[in-house]
Amino acid sequence: MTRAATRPVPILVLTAMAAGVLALTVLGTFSVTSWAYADWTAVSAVTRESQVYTGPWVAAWCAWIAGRYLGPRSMLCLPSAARSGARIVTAHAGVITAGALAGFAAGLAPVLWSTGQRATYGSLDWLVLAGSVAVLLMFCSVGYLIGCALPRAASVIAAATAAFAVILLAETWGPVVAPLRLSTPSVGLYETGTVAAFRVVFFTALALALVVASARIVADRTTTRSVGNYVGLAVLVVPLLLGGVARAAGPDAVVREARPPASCTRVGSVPVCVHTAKATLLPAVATAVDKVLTSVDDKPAVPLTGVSDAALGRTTAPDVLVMDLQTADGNWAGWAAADVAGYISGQQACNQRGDASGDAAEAAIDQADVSFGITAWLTQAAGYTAPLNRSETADQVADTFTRLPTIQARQLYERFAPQIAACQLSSSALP
Amino acid sequence: MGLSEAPHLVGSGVVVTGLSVGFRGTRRALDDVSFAVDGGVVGILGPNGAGKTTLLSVLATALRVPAGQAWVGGHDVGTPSGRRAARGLIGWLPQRFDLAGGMSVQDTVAYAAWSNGADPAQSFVLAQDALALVDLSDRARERVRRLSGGQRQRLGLAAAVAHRPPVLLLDEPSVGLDPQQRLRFRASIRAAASDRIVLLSSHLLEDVAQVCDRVAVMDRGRVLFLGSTAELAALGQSSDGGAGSTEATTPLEAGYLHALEGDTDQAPS
Repeated sequence: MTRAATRPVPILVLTAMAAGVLALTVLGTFSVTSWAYADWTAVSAVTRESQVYTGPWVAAWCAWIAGRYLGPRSMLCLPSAARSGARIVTAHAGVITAGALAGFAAGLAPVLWSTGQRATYGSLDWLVLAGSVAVLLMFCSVGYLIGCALPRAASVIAAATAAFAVILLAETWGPVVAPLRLSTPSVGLYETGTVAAFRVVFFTALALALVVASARIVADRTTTRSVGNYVGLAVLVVPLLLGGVARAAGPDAVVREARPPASCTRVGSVPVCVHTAKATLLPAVATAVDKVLTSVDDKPAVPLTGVSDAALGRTTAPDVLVMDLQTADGNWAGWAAADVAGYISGQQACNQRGDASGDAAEAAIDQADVSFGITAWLTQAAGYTAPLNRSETADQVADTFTRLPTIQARQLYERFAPQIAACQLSSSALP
Repeated sequence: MGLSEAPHLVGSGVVVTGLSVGFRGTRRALDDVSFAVDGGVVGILGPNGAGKTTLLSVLATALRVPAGQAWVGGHDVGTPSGRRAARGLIGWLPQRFDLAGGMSVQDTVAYAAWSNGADPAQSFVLAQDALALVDLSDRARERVRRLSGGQRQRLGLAAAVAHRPPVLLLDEPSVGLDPQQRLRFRASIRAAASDRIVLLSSHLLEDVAQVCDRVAVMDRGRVLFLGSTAELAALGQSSDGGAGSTEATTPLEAGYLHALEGDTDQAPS
């Protein structure tokens, strides 16, 4: 006979749950490792966001464990058992927590190691990570409670569904009390310490309250169902009130860095700056700016006095391109070049146009298509590709410029520079 | 040792005084039941709906005590602290129980021993002993789902006794078993009852006759007879025949039917 027989939860069950947590955590966090730079803010956040997968998984497993051992007629732990109630629930909670945390820690290891190797700025936000752990335990407790309250096979499905429902309603809860968020903050932003600390307390309290409620339900098990069996749920009022107050207060969960550090270089007279966390990207960004400007012989139709990473915040300085680097895309440099090309093709003017109707609207669409066509030509001329979503008119404009010898294409661009800058060049005006 | 009406043995055994349990919308499941057991195997006889399961569920701490009192091993199971204290003393085999089909027989018993309070290190040995008691040692490594109905019932008994409780509550333990399985099951119960109080509910007179020293006859939530099996049989022999007594094939059966008709001066007041 094996010793495993009397562990609160058999090691095989724990291993299966933990292995799933590991795999799903890797699945949920791995995309961050493919970013062009290492971003501790995003990595800290995805420890929580990855639970879009692990949350339902652990909830379902915990419901299964509770249902298997704690059904009102289960010979494994009858209501008459000496360990029925808090003793068996805490024994289960202990090993379930250990299993889930082991899987979670192992699942986070690749992204933490990779980020640690590559990051040039910042560090793991331990409070956010602690909040993620609390959320994971909350999902465990939700599933366990459902397994105790509905000790049937259906409780597994009910637990997974409940976890999904909680996730889907994330936006409704608000950022302070939502278990996870549907958008991941990145460098330039950070999660406030107060809110992060509150989340640790709130979700830990919620998880504990759910465990206490489970213990009460198990201790009060009877062979007949009655409302009295579920009075333990009343303990949930405390954390729910806490969450309600916090939600009503509505503090900012994510704020912008007050003085984000910048790494800068120059392309000719144009300063190019990125957040220090993206310092490794700076040469490639500068090269993209240089190549696009070279395509127009350093005579952009729209004045360009600087290029700044959006992570550094918006700027009031005139003629500065604020660039949102698409670092999650492998072709981020191509998109950076397209951003510069778009800027000097007058796209800002196109975007700032008001609504129009009738012939004016048709003209505006045509002129915007021309701007897109010039953007595509410039991006390509600089040696980059960016899969811009172009219209037929934009394709024709791009072809027109591309077919021309370089000198003539530049001359054409220069000739129409005022119209390009104002987004008023019509396709009919081009040869 | 045995069964008595007088609840004077609160310090040990099982004592019930004035116990009433009512289910909403129906008549009382138990109606002012009183008795005391300080040893041996006590059969609780009665037709379906007599209140046998309710009585054992109360003693097993799986039902509350709305009126009256019930003690197990000197602990009042009507109070939360009493229920907690009594739980370590009880082994319960409900009429209907669930087993995890994917678990092995030995793991099931060891887990039940642990949940019933046994030390984890001892649970293995206790499980082996319990399986030997119910003659399932050779199936120890089998998955539960591969067992027959009779084997599952014996496994349930092993799970109920593995932690060596001084009080064993068996609710209709031989229901659904074929004659051969019942013979083996009775032998298991006799073996399990050698050193503890056993309350065994049944509507099968054969089981009671073969296994029990004492008997209580219940119907409609009330105890109609308390005494030894010999006294119940004697009651049948001495009666001059009621409507059911004429159909009885054994003295015990006649006594049982006689008790159900309420024509006995041994019923508690």
